[in-house]
Amino acid sequence: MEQRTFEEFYRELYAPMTKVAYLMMGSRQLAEELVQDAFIRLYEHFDDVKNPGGFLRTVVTRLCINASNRQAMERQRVTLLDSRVYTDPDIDEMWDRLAAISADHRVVLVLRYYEDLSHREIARIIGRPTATVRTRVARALRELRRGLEC
Amino acid sequence: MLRPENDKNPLEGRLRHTLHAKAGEFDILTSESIPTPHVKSHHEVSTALATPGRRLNWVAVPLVGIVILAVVGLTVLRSDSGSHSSVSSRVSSPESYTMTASDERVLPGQTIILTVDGPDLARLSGGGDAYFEKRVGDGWRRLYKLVWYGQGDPTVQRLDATTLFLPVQATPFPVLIPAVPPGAYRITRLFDVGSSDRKTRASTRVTVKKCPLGQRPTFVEAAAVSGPNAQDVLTPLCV
Repeated sequence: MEQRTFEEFYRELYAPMTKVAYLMMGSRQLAEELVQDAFIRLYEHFDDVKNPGGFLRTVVTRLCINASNRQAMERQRVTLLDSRVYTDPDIDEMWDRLAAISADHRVVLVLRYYEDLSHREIARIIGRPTATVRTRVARALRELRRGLEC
Repeated sequence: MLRPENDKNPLEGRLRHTLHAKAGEFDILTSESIPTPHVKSHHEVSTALATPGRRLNWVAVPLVGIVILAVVGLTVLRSDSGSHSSVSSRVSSPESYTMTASDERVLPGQTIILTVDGPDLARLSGGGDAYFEKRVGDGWRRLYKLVWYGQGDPTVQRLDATTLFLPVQATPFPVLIPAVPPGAYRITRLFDVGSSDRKTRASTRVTVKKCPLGQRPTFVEAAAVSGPNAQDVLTPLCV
């Protein structure tokens, strides 16, 4: 099979990875920065990586979790969420709730409901047991529901 | 793969819908600013490539460059093919008229002056209104009318407000920035050219800044507004 180049992966995966990071971070700028970092890491390990898409998703997810957990980043994320394009009240309300829940919960929800990944796949990405992921998704949904009912 | 029909409750469906809608929105946001991150990525990838001790992929640098140029080119083409002709704060309309704002970074409630430049300006007459727009999909959605009848203070009015047809000089034209969330917006004015039925358009971009700490953009009750359609006049402020 023909070996695909780094540039081909960059061209193919930059946009989808940035979207995932945007959903996790709520900030376009941060998403772009994190995806750039992820691609740099992919480049550094390109010869050894068997599944660049999976590698990138894992790196982007972990970078997003780390970034969200940094207080300064969190403040910036919340600020930047204010600059969203207003669309539909239902969407805006849900988006606001997503911004309010913890980064760990938001990340698993994005992987589960945007990336359509199984609990096991998510577990592999975030480096936690499958049972933990299942619990985390359930708690995240509960947290979302609680916020929406207020 | 999970599908919406597998969602166990409406909340999951709504969440999925929101995530996909916001991801689509990211396309809208990115379509205006792809060059910056890609140029940056070029720089960073190039830096990584050039770092001593790493395997140098001689194909990588030119190819990344080509990708960047292609994306930038596509972005420009895509912008040009949008529903309106003006795509940046100083891009000419088809008639080569340009419109610039006295301040491109503004706050809700701030008054700025729009200046039109181009050939034979005396042939241009503008209505007393401009449009404050935000990007939606491939086009622009009008949010408010920015009204000024040639004297007094400029006002913000709802789109459905009836404004007088009162031609005013094309330039200068003061506008009041509405109470909107921070972000990039566009102001558009339409002009009649000479005595013909032809119309032309000029647009300029502005970036609405975040209100000072603890304040939010809002419309407050106008204390004493008089003149045409006073009931439709909105007073934007950071409060």
